[in-house]
Amino acid sequence: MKVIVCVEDRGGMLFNGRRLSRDRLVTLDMLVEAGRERLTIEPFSAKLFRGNMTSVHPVENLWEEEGCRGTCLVETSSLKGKEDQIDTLVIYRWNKCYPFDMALRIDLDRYQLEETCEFPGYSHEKITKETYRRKEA
Amino acid sequence: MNRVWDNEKTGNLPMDLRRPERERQIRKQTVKHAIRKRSGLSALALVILLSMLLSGCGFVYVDDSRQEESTAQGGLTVVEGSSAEQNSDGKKQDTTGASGDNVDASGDEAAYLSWETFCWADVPAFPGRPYLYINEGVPFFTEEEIEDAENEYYEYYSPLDELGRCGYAMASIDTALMPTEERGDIYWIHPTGWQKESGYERSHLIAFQLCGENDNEKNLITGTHYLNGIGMLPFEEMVGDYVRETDTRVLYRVTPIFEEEEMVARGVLMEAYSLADGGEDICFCVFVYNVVEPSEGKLIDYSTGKVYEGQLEIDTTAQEAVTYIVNRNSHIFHYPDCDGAQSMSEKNKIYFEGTREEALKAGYTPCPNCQP
Repeated sequence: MKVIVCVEDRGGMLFNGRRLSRDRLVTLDMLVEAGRERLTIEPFSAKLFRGNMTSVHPVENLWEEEGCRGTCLVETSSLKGKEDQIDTLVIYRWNKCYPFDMALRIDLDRYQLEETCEFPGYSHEKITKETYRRKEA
Repeated sequence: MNRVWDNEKTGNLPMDLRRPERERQIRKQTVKHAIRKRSGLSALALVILLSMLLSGCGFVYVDDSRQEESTAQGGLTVVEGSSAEQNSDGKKQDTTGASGDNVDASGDEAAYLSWETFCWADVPAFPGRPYLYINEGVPFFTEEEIEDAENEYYEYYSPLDELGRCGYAMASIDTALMPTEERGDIYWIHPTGWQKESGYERSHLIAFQLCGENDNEKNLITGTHYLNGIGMLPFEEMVGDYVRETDTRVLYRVTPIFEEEEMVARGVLMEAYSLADGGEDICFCVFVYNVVEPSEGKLIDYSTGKVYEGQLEIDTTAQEAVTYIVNRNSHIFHYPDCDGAQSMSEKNKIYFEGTREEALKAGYTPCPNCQP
C-alpha cells in the first residue's frame, strides 16, 4: 500500500478539523502517483478532486480490508501503528509553518528515504516531495 | 471595488464601542439572541445564579439593557453556571481540567462569549504555547458581516484610541488586496509601548501579505517575536495560501486585547472564515499571546513596554490534549511542566498527543529528569 500525506514544517496535518493547505499542482501530482489506478481517498478529501472524481475512489475507512489497497491519500487518520500496511510513504512538505493540532505520527526509522524532489506549486513557492520505502524486517 | 472604512468620529471611544452604529445594532441583536436563548433555563439554574450573584463570586449576568454599561467597563463576562473561576489577577482559570480550548467548559456557555465584550479577563492563563482556541475555535462574525464580505472585498482599520492604541482591523481578504510589491521599511512607526532595544517587532494586525497595508499606524502594534513570528504568522500563511490557491475570499479580523490602560497588548484575538464554502476550509478563532518566548526568561511590563528579567508562569492545566513535549533535535520527550520543556525553544518543540508507549514507539526517549 502506498500512502500519501501532506505536512507543514513541524509535521502538522490538520488544524481545527481542517486541512492546513492545498495546492492544485500537488493534487495533480497525487493522481500521477496513483498511476493507472484510481487514488483512494477519505470522503473528507473529495473536495480536492472536484472535476476529477473519476480518478479517485472515496472509501469510508481506508484501513479496512476493502479500503486498504493501491495508493491512498490520508488527511485525517493517524498512521500510527499502520507501518506494517504501508510499503511506500509519499510526503509532500509545504515548507511553511501552519497552525496544527494533529501531526503525522509514524515511525520513520522503519523507512528508507529513497527520493526527494522539489517543485514550485501553484500557490506555494516550493513543495518538497519525499518518497520513503519500508525497510525489510 | 476596494472599500476602506475609517470612522474617525468614534476615535475617542473605548475599543469595544468604536464601531459604526449600524454594526453595533447588529451586534446588540446578536447578543440579545444569545441571551434570549438563556430564557429557557430551569428555575433551579436561576436560583443557583442568584445565589452566585448574592455571594459576590464575580460573575455577572446582565440583560441587554446593561450590556453597554458593562462593556464600557471592559470587564463584562456573561457566564452562568460555569465551572470557571477568576483569580485575584482577574484571569479566568478553567477548573474543569477538561480543556483549555475555551474559557467556558461547555458549548452552551460558549454562546455567551461575544466579540464585542471579549476582554483580557476572558483569556485563559498562558498555557506554554503561542495560542489557544477561543469560543471552541468558532469566529464571532455575524451573518451581516459575512454577507457584507461576500458582496465586496474591503479592509478596515479602527481609529487609534485616546491613548494612541490600535483597535480591531478587519478585512474581506481577496487576491485583489494582496501586495504586488516588496514590503518597505516601517522603522519610523512607534506603536504604543514601543521600547528600543527590547527585541520587539512592529506587528501588523492584518499581515502585509494579506492586505498590502504596510506603514499604517492603525495596523501596527508592539509585539514580541513569539506573538508575531511564531504565533500569528502560521495563521497568516494559512489564510494567505488559501486565498492565493482558491482565489476566494476569507473574512478576517484581528483584535488587539489591552488590559485597561496598558500600552502593550496582552495578545490578539484572530478570527477567520472562508466565505465560498461557509467556513469549511478556513474557520478559526484563537487568542495569540504577546509574551517573550518562555525560554528567554523575560517578562513584559505591559503598561510601559519595558522588558525585564523574570520567569513567565505557565498554566499546565490548559495544555489541551498535549501529553508530552518532544525536542525536535534530541527526540527526548518531557512532561509539559518539566524544566526541559519549558526552557525549550518553541521552534524545537513538537506537541505530542499520545501515551508513553506511543511516544517510545515513535522513537522518542524519555527525559531522565521528569521521567515521563
